[in-house]
Amino acid sequence: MVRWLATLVVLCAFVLPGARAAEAARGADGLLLVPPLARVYDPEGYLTPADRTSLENRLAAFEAAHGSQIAIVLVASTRPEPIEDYAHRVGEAWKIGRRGIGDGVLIVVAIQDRAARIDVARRLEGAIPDVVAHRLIREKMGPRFAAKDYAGGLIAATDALFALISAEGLPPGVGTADAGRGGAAPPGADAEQTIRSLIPFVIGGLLLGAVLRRLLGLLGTLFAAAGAAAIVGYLFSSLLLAGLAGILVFVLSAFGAPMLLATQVLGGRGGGGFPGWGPGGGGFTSGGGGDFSGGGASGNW
Amino acid sequence: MRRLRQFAAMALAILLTGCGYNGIQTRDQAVSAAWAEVLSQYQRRADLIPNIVNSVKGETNFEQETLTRVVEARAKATSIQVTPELANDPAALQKFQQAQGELSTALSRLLVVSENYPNLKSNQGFQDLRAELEGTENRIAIARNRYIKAVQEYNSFIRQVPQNLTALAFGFKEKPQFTVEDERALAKPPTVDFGAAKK
Repeated sequence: MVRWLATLVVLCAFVLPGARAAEAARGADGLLLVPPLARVYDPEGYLTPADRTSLENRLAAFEAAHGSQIAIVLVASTRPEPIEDYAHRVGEAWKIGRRGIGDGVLIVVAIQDRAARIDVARRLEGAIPDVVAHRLIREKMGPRFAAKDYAGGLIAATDALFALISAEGLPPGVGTADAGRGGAAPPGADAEQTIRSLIPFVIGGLLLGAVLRRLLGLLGTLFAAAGAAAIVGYLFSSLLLAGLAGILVFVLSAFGAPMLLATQVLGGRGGGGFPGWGPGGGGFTSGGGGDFSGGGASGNW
Repeated sequence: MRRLRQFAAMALAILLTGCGYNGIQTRDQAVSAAWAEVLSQYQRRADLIPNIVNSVKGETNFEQETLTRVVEARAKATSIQVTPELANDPAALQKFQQAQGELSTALSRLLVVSENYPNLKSNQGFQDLRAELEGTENRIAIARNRYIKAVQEYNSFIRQVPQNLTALAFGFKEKPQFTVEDERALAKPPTVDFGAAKK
């Protein structure tokens, strides 16, 4: 009886700390880690849940209509790192903005530092020059943040950003408001992710090849390889990926069963999920095209 | 004998697939592109400075020494003839970095001094110029970091085993890296003595 109670107490010690409001995680060097991709990242709860949802919906609606991706990060403090460095790290990791267009804007607010930064991707530097970004912080965000009205400040700033970006004349957005896919980008923002997503098709091709080989011999493997290549080419719109898939299926099939087993094991690990900056909370995927080279401005209030 | 020939053919095929020659070319181009970006950002700053100096000149009683220092530093920095070979010559690169570093110091001193002039602080035009200058400094920092990464990539590639032979054969040398010394000097905030006479 006592042992059971003791285990329960020990378990609670592990569970209860997690019940506190989560803080933005820091790495071993004391610097903030790049947060998981999200339209509004607010681990400390500076925004009420209702405000946060409404803000996310506004950003998602803008992305659906115009394609540009705007994200907001609210942390307590970026110290010892300057807010510019932190914002740059996040921008480089997330790369928000449509592939091939690169229209992303990142807003970072460090509440306890009383510092804010609007980081503008290269493509939008014409629409949102440094001076304009600085004015946005000074006039729209500053006074409201000083009065602790964080939601109001962010809404005012994002409204101004919406107006500036829509005046720029970029290609329109996809239009569907389904889980915020980042524009007309093929699935897989970076090479590793793309290769990983090929694995299910290669496995399928191998299985098919194994069957066809028994029936038709080498010709069967050729058919399976061609089939896998065709499907991959259709889904990913990439000749290179199609060729790669076809070759993989053919070569692996030619080596017979042992290789098949090996790839089954691989597939179990790789097909299990997309790493990194793929679908995060709320289905927000980064377009992968944003090039944050230091445009934008910082300000204090 | 036939086996040997087959083996030799295969070995030749592997050797011909590069031994890194193409890799060296790609990385060399990446370094050149990154260098061009660094130069363009430095130029952007140099172009911005006359506006700042003019907006400050209008302010009566402003510390002339600070202004002159900025103007002189800019002249020195822009007087260095920038050629694509600059990035490959360690001595010239050092001089270039030093000149740009001095300009950075002079500018940050100017900004610190301008804090003491409430008219300037409230002047919208000056605030905008200040924002532009800070943006430019940020871009310079990022362009430098990207250049450093590109050079690092190139240098480490050139040192690895199959590629170092190719590099030796074709005369590719390691590129000099941006030194960190300037950065530490820049990181120290300039001491300004407001007690000294404002002319």
